[in-house]
Amino acid sequence: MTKRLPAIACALLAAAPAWTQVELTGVYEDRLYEDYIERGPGSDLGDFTGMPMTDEARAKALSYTSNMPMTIERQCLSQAPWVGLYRPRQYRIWSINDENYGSVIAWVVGGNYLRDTVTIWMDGREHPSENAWHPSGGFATGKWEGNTLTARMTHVKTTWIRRGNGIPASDQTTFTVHLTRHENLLTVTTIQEDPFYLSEPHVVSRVWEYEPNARQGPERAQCNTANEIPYLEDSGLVPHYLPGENPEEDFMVRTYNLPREAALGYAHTLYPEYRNTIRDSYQPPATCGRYCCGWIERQGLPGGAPNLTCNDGGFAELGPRGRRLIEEASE
Amino acid sequence: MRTIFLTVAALALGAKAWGHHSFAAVYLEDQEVTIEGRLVQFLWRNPHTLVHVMVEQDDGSNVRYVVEWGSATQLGATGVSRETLRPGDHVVINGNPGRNAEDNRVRLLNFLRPSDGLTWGLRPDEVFD
Repeated sequence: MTKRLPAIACALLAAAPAWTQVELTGVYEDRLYEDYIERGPGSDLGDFTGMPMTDEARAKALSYTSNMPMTIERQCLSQAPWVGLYRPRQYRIWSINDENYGSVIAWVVGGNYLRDTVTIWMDGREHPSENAWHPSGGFATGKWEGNTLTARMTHVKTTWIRRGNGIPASDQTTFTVHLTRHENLLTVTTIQEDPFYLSEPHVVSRVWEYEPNARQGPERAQCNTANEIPYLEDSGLVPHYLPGENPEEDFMVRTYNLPREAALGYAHTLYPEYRNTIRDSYQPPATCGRYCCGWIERQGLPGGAPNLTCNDGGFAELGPRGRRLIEEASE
Repeated sequence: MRTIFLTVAALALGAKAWGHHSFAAVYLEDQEVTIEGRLVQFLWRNPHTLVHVMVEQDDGSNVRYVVEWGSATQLGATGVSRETLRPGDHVVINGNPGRNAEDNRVRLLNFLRPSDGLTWGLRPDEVFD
């Protein structure tokens, strides 16, 4: 009997991966209960909070204007493979299977506007040469770690990290990505490293929910350029701010009283200990002026959760216009 | 100047619209503006449809506004097509003004075509991101 134990143990270990893999196929809708601002309306200019940026990244980000992506040559630039963590969009995931045996060769995260489809190869192939082409969707290989699919991505293009406020990422960026499904919830965690623009790994996790009744329409379509800002047409101008001239550089300081270093992406401000250093000096704004109840402001609209109310005396339900009128009346 | 900063009540049923870029970075989301004028170009496209509207100013001059709308794909799902609007249409558009006033940009929240009463943006499903 004792002699059989190692054999039984080996058999169990060999079978273990089959028990810990998870079916990912399906459509997962964004639920904006967390990080509403970033996933919904989008980041503010000058909001680099939570980012471990190098000085080079900060300088480049502060040269950015919201008109820069409106130029003809930039309108259809591909966005980062995992920009979905910063956008209000669904994920559609499916597998590529061996046609004879049915085993999963790759997991595919379908693309949508300006974000290319990501293929996570599960067949053990090597990453290509560092000199190989960098496609919009990068190159990714994956393996199961328990119930989590862990992917390593290289060969990405130069992009912006967040949505629309100029934080840069180089084509030397690598991602470690964890896709974890807890029944109907899908957590996607990205650990982004960049030797040029990130001083430390940038870690983000966001949650989606499986949606069996998701729309089946196309997610992708051709991007067509057009004149978005009349005075830029045929001008050759590239909108930008010179160093020290970005009027939004202090946006977070004047709006939320945040210390400048916290707003502008200094890595040490990411850590909980940083709170202790500003405990005596930080003064929160006296009143809430925007996003007072986060995603609850979406009540009644697609994506809004039912039967929840904002506990701020109804201020948020007034919407931006209503709040402004009240504020004007009280002045 | 036919730019009205407080909107007709019927148009005020706000529809949220979120983009592939950050709308908070491009537009003043806590402000609304109404422009009224003649549609001169309707660019049915992805990632965002654009409506160019010529707006007459108080001094009689005309200023071209660029109004950002949903993608052709998303608008198609709400019944809008490339034939919905035509150059020459008189339109009243309500939306968020651009952060840079000189850009003359507006993010469309809703619109009205008075000639036939056509509206968009008043129903819960008439949103775009």
